Amino acid sequence: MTVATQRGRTYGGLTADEREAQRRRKVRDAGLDLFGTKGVIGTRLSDLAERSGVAERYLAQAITSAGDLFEQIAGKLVDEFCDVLAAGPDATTGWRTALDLLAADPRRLRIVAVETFGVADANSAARRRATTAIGATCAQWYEPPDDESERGLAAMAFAGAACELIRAWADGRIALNSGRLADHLAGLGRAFSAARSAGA
Amino acid sequence: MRTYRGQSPEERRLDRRARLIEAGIQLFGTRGFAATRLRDVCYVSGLTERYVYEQFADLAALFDTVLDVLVAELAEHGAAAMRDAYDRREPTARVGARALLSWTEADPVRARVVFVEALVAHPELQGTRVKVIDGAAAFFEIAATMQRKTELPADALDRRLNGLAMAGATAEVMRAWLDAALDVPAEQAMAQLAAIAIESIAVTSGG
Repeated sequence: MTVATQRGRTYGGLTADEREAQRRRKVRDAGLDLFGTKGVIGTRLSDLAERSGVAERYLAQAITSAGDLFEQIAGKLVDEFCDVLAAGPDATTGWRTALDLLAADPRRLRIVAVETFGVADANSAARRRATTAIGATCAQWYEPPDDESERGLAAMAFAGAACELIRAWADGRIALNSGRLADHLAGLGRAFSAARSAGA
Repeated sequence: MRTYRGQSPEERRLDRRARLIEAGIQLFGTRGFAATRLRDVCYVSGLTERYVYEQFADLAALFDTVLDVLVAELAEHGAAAMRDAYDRREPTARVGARALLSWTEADPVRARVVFVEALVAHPELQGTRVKVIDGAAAFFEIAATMQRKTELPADALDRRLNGLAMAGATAEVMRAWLDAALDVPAEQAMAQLAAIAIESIAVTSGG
């Protein structure tokens, strides 16, 4: 019973540390699959255990809850998405590359555009990071409000708008290609940045 | 016809329906759809299970009706605000944003059902989210045509995309407000949202 805690001992040719790293990888892969297909609401710890083949008692060492794992995975995918977006020399190019990244893997698309924004709490770290990063790209391409709180709200509203359009595009509810969507998102980013609360 | 405490069977049925809907609003708007059980609805409404099933097949059916009732309340509240503002040459977007502000402040529990629970898309509430978002997008598209001095895009797809964008933007800001994640007073947030609605009416791409 104490074998797992004896660090020096190998089992199946792997040290305890290696086995732990392998379990973490398996859990992460299972999270990507389940959050990216069934969604965060439909995924419990027992589903993650079943999909990953990692026993629930080990699972509990790596993560405290399914929501905890979701934050880890979503945070990483959101960062990658925002990095690609921000790397565009202009808004249209940035959005085009970012949309291509999402379209390449439906699980990624679902986690970034559907689960992070649609399902997670507004105080979720991944959601906040995404809003901040999208706001930063607006500052890079347009002239957002000087006032910090106004700038934050413009970013939040734009992030919500962008995700809604991306979902409708991904679901096929609106028929348009990614190039046109990128153009439109670029135009919306400019409009959202130009609005001021006192000017309505 | 037989009456009971002066009410006909039909009146009593409608009274039970109203009690069930109100219980649904309170439960869905506080603990959420996922954590609401049939027995909670019975407890809050003071009605037994058989009366719930008399009117609703399951909790998802109750949610659907609750949502319809709340959307109708919000629409009525908005229409009243528009009527009051009719002579005041004020931008439609600003009147609408203020109506949303006052409706939400009056009862955040009701607003939470519409802007959080209906949009989270629980597995049992298939289609609810799309219904709300597409309804809101259609509303913004129509409202855009009432905005004075703004040239609407000629391409219908542009108008549709702009309506959908405003639905998403509003949902995001409302969600933040109701989750206490807004960094600005709600009144300022709604004013800025109105300004965003006006700025985004004329956005075009390709078409």
